[in-house]
Amino acid sequence: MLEVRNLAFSYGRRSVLRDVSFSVSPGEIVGIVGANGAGKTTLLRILATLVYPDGGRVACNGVDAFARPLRYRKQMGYLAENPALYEDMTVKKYLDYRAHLKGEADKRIRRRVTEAAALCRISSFMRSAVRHLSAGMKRRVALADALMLRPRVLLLDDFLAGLDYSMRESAGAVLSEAAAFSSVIVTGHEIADMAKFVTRFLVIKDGVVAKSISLSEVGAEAAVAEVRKAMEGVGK
Amino acid sequence: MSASAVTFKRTIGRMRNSFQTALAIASFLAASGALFSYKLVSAEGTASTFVELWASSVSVFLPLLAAFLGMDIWSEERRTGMADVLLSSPVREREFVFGKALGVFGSLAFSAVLSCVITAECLSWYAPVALSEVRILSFALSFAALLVQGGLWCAATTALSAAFTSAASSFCASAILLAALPRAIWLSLMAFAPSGRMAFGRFPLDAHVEDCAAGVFPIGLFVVLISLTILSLFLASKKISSLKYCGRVSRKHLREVALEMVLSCVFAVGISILALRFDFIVELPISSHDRFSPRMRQVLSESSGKVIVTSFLSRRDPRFRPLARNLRSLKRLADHLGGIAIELQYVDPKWDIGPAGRLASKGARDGSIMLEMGRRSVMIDLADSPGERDLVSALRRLIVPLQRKDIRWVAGHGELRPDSYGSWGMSDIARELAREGYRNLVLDLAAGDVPQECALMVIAGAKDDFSRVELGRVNEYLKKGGRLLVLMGRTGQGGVSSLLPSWGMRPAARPITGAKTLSGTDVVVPILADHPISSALTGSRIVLESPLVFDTAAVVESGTGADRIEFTPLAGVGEDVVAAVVERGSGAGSDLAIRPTRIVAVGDGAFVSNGALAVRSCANRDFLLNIVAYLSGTDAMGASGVEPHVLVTGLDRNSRFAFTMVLALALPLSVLVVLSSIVYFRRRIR
Repeated sequence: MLEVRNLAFSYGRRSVLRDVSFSVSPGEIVGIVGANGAGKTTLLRILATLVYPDGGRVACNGVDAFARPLRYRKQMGYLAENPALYEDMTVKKYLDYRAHLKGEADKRIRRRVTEAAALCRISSFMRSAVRHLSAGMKRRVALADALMLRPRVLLLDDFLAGLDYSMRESAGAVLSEAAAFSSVIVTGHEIADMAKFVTRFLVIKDGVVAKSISLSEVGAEAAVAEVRKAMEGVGK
Repeated sequence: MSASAVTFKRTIGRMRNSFQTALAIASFLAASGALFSYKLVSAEGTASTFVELWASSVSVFLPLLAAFLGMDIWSEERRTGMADVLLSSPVREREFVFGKALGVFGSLAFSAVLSCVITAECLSWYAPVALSEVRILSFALSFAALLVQGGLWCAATTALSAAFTSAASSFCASAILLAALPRAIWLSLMAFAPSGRMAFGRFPLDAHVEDCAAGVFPIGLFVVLISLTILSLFLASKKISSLKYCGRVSRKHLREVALEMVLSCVFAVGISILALRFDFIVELPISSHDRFSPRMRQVLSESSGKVIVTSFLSRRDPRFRPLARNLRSLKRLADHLGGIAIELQYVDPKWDIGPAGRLASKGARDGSIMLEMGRRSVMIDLADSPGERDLVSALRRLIVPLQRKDIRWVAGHGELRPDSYGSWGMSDIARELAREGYRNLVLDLAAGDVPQECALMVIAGAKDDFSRVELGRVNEYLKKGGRLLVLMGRTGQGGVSSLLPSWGMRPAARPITGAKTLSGTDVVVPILADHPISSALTGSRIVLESPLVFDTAAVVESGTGADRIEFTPLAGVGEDVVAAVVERGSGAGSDLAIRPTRIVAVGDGAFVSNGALAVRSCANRDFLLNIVAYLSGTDAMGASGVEPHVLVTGLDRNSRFAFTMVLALALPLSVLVVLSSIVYFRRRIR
């Protein structure tokens, strides 16, 4: 379970996050939405321990993200908004390298890599050099990297960007499978697409969680409408 | 597998697949090869070894290579966003930093090994004799010194790369801070603080490598290098972790990080100062007996008694360490030979007040070596940069007090003078003769007859003709069993050239043919081996500038018994003799007390001038010393032409050019082609 309490962050004098609090239970897929500049990416970077917040607390299953960062990161998978990969490696070598880096035991790495590749539909590209892949394919490789070791918390920034139609269609299946072992947080602007697989929307507005909309309570279409309504006025 | 090992493997793999790395390694090989070639030529005749020259050539370019290999080690990760991917992994920043620095270090070490292999290989083709003195321990120590320095360069480059997002900026910063700035500071000190030159000595990092090659292991400097390496790695990991502090409140954390960095710098500098203050030195027995010449062995083994050798020099003086090393080697040799017993003492003029006062009362100066045997003592002033020769001469003087003999240098006809310190002067060789116990005096033939006590008359490169009176005085001197050394002027005219034919010497007006040349104008002439002067110098060569040749076809060997003139070539190629000795009276019976007349003529008047002796190593000096010893009636002094530890490559001009081209061009290009091909095929397979 991921718990976020009173998170605050500002770039210089500009306050981006003021008081963000929420929690994500195992099996939940939470979609964080908001206008451009609302602080979605910053929030996920904080959750990925890439940025230290000005205040607040982040914990996964009781492990504080900033007090015990290594233990926290061991339970976390992160897909960046613009994921970077080592272009000179093959896909398989890159995933092997990442698995080794995350401390996975040698004997399990092959199985983990194969499973993640199958889940992200990159099995046929395993021997290709990363530099020969398209942007969308690279994103799939980065996704495979993020969920390869079955993290307790999966952070996917702008998840649907760059994915083709078929992958978007199957994104729900991928995330549902990931949700079996993770608390999943997804950000993005494709609210309608996200509504197909998220269980809850969190609308970030003016540095706080303005609204939490559970799809099981209001249904997908109503949730999308409510999200759009909640986002109105942002940035004015 | 630890995260550091994974990162190391990744870094090495990345470099292995990069044309950039292949180019960097080839450039490094070319630059260090060119410098080695230059140093090899300059070091001809000095007490340098292949290992020292190679290590000091490589150490100059190691910082640049490290800067190039490590310039994008972090900056590229930051630019592409890969740093985020890495930092979101459950790995400490310091493990990434260590792994990456280790990767750069691995490539650096590979380049150094490659450089050593191709240099040694190239040397084995062109000058195998230069490799004969290589000792494994010496090589291992100097390589260890290079690696420790390389470790610092890699760590510092990693730290600087973490500070920039542009690889070019990172490279510039590294190149300036690691390669250019230290040498610029040192050169500035050399240029603007001449009084401090002795205190600063050689560039410390070059001296460090050469010290290690000679078996001196300065623990203090190693501690400094290692602490700076750890500091660099620490700063790099702090810089990487500080990337996370970009929020407003995080400025407080940033200040804490900055404080940690400053404190760590202070700590490292403190450790460095302490390490240098208590500079412990471990000396390994690399320089052993065979660094001493046979002459030294002869002096030590054929005498007995106890000699106290005192170094009267501050321990902080840069000359102290090599001096102490040589003295310890000398003691070991003396113990080994079982002749003279040597006792070593080290007296610091500032700290050892009592012994210093005793030495000062005996006339010893600060910066000297005092040799004492019973009541006799001899001082060697270190300001003259003495070598082994001086030590042998001093020991000889101590053990066998010499009867001083006068050498008269004829003046007044444009001769080279023993008191002239220019490159055309003879002050160096005159000083050498003075150390051997001779007294150098000037002789004016116009003023009167040659004095009775003149053991040897020297006419060095006379340009003007002698007057009839002067020729008559020389002739009279020779007839009485005089000894004459004639160093011929360029033209073969002037001086006593008109007198020489009657004594069996005929200078011919033609150049020598068939001799090798080093610079184009000089000739390398082998010494012939059937005379007391030259027999000990068998295999050695003298180098002369456009020498005159003596006509052997017109040699007069006439008379019988005491009147017989015997001509013996000393040096030459085929029929062209450039140095010869004639002797009259040697055929007399041993029961007749006839002092034979001896004349030695050499075809180059300046072959032992200061300029000639400073330029290169050859047997010129020993050849002259042997001539002087023979003419003045003492035994031949030089037992061998070149001391055993002196570097002699035997490369002439063409071989040097070919050697440089192969080492600095052909082999690096081959390495570039091979490495690039590997990269190309690895990429193509994918």
